[in-house]
Amino acid sequence: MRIPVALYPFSAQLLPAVKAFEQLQDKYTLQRLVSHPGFGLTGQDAGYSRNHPHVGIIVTDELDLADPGWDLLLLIQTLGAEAENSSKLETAAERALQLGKSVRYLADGSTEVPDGISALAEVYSGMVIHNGSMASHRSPEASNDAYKDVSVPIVLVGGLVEEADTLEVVLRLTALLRADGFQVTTITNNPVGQLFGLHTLSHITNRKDLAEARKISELNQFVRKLEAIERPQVVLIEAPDAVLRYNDFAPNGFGIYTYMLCQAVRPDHFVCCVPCEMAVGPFLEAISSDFAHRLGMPVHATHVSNLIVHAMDIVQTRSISYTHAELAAVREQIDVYGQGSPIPLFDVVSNGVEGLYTHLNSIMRLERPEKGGDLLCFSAK
Amino acid sequence: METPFIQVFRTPNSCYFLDVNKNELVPVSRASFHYLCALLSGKDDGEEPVPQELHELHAQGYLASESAVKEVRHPYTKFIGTFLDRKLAKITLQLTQNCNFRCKYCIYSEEHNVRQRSHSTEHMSWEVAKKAVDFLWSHSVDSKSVNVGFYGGEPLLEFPLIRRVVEYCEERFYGKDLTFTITTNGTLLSDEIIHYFEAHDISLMISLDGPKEINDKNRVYADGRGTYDVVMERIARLKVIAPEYAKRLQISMVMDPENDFDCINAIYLEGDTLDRMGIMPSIVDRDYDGDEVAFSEEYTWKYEYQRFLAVLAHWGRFPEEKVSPIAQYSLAAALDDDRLIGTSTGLRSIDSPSGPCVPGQMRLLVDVNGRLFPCERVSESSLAMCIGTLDKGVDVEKASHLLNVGRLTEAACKQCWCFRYCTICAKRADDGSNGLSADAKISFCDETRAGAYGKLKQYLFFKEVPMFYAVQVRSMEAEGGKNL
Repeated sequence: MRIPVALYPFSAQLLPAVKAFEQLQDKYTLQRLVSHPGFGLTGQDAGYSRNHPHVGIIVTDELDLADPGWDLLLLIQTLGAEAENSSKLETAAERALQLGKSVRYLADGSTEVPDGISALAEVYSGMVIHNGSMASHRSPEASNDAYKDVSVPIVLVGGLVEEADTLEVVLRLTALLRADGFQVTTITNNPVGQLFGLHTLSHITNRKDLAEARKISELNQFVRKLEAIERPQVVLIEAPDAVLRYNDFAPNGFGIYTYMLCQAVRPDHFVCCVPCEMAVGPFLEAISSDFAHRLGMPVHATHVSNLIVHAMDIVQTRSISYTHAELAAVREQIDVYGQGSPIPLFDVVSNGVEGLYTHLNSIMRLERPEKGGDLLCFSAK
Repeated sequence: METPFIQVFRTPNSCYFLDVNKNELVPVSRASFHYLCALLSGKDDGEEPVPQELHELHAQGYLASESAVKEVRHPYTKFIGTFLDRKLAKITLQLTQNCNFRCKYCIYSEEHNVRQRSHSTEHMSWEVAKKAVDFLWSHSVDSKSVNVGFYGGEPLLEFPLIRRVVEYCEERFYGKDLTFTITTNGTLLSDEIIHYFEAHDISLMISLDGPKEINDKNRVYADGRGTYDVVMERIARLKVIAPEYAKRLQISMVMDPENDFDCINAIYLEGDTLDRMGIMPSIVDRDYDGDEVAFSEEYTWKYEYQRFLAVLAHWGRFPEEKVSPIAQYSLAAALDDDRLIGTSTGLRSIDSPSGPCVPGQMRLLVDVNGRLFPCERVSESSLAMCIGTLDKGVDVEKASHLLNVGRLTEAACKQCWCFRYCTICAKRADDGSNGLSADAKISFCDETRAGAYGKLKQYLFFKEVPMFYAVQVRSMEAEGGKNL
């Protein structure tokens, strides 16, 4: 029996998790999505947050703690511009607990659990779950082992800008791999991944007490430990930041964490998520060549996002600015540029995930397990 | 050699051409430069041999004679509906068309406007203001931050409405980065208003044109009295009761270049009421009264001299505090623009001159009656500029027409070296006939090209400085020079 859940605060960042919620875990069922009024989502289907197809849950801006329709409040400390003030989350948690609800708090693994949440966990024993008590989130302690390659194929999913559906691609591929019986270790940036048994790297990348070279070693050891524990046939990793510098106005983090990751684990395959109007053959070939030199692997497949970068706004605001086009624009882009592109284009959001999955399978040569079989074959690196 | 699609530039140190298609500034020898100049001016008789350097550049794809642009169409044409539906960033609320001033150059004045509305007693109702806020809310889902601007007339005539709007916005946009701005003449700033603005972090801009003798020439009350003393007294009061907030005060200075520049600039020499760098200078806008802006000799040469000092100060060769803040602001803005020059792309087969913004997306003006305009700078009397209403929403087709104002003059634009550096938007094509006019637009081309030419020359010169003056620079560094 799944526990009915209200998720708060819902934002566009969490849409991929909402879509995959029922598929990737069997403990909870999502009943309510509560957003802040300012996000402009109230009364809309959750899919509206990214101009995606409807997902069947209407967003509200009222956290009704007396609502009998849910039993657990899922508090997610989101990242970036939508980052939530933890005191607001603590207040919501306390009120929910007072009314007999349970609380699960998910945050970026690099930060401490807020004192307020820890205190509530002590007072309401057994009613609060947070990062600190989740073994699945904690990294296996790094040892002083020398650097070694991971022995199974690694697929990196990264975006030219961070918001270009990387989480959606990772979650969809994870679901398909799992459904086909493959053992997959998945690493994402969003704390919500913890719900689905996924991992994050932020507890290493965001550490301030480690030199960059040391972080690379830690990343290597962390992924190898995961490999040792989970025995995956494939490792899927969402790039920790945008994969390259955007321009002088919005350097976009210079892709520094992705570079470090690629030094640490040397991905074999790269799915690049690109804003719609950038999905053009010659451009993709150029960046693929750049990635091959700089990161060690070319682009093997492209997901075309409905993200449209607002170049004029970038000049004004000095940060990446975008909007979400209708998905028809993505289909049109693929129709026009897909045929001539040596790097295949997919639209994972609409219906292209099967195609992407088949394409990756064909180049990784993962063998589908036989029904009931327990021996899975794959090509080692 | 066929006439190439280029523009030539010469600085004190070197010669260049702008390859328009590639949007690259290419250094060339003096001989090549002179050859290109002759070619462009039609004085090449074909006798002169083409310099080897130009042969080589031509072989590398430079100096093409045809424009790469085959069709003028803005790249966002396909997405303008999405931008307007999901990406509004700012609305400017015209709270009132009334003002307690009657500035002599005001575009809304009864005497001077030809193609703009006049002052009136019309003001925005709460219902319209609320609808405008709701409109922003429902059309900004993809904007990380939103801004609400208060505009007039004199917006402080409607302070109770401002209050109501601010409080409604804070509730409506809870969770999103929300900011407010107001542009006012400052005379109605009471203590209560100052405290309220500080508490709600409302970004304040006060209009003031210079010292008393300059300001009071134009900025006067309806009865003709000057306004300088009252404004300065209000600013001084602001600094006393809200010193931290006062540090963020900005002064909008409309300069009439018929005045002596030193007189305008003198405002910064009078006491310490104004912060030197909180200034936003602009030249008076005469578009709507049909007159040309006149520049006096005293303005021009004194401004140029100050600009020269600003350049020296930028390189650490002159004390910043002795340079006009107006000239420093102007230089800083120009240097900021230089970054655009370095990052712009070459021309594409389907492309658009760079002037227009996405109409309404960046700073949608809502007038007192709920009509929508691309920004506060356009004529509210022109049907061409009205892109919708709060009730019916934005007319995407009309907005698209404004976005594609370049199509009006497609043939000329395709052949213009200034394609990537054009600053002409639909406002310039509005001749008051309720449509867009190619003739009106083209009449601004010379001025626009001259501005772009100056900007590119400065860009080149600034790039040269460390290279051509390395000896002087090293010597300065050895002497403890700064800002290099």
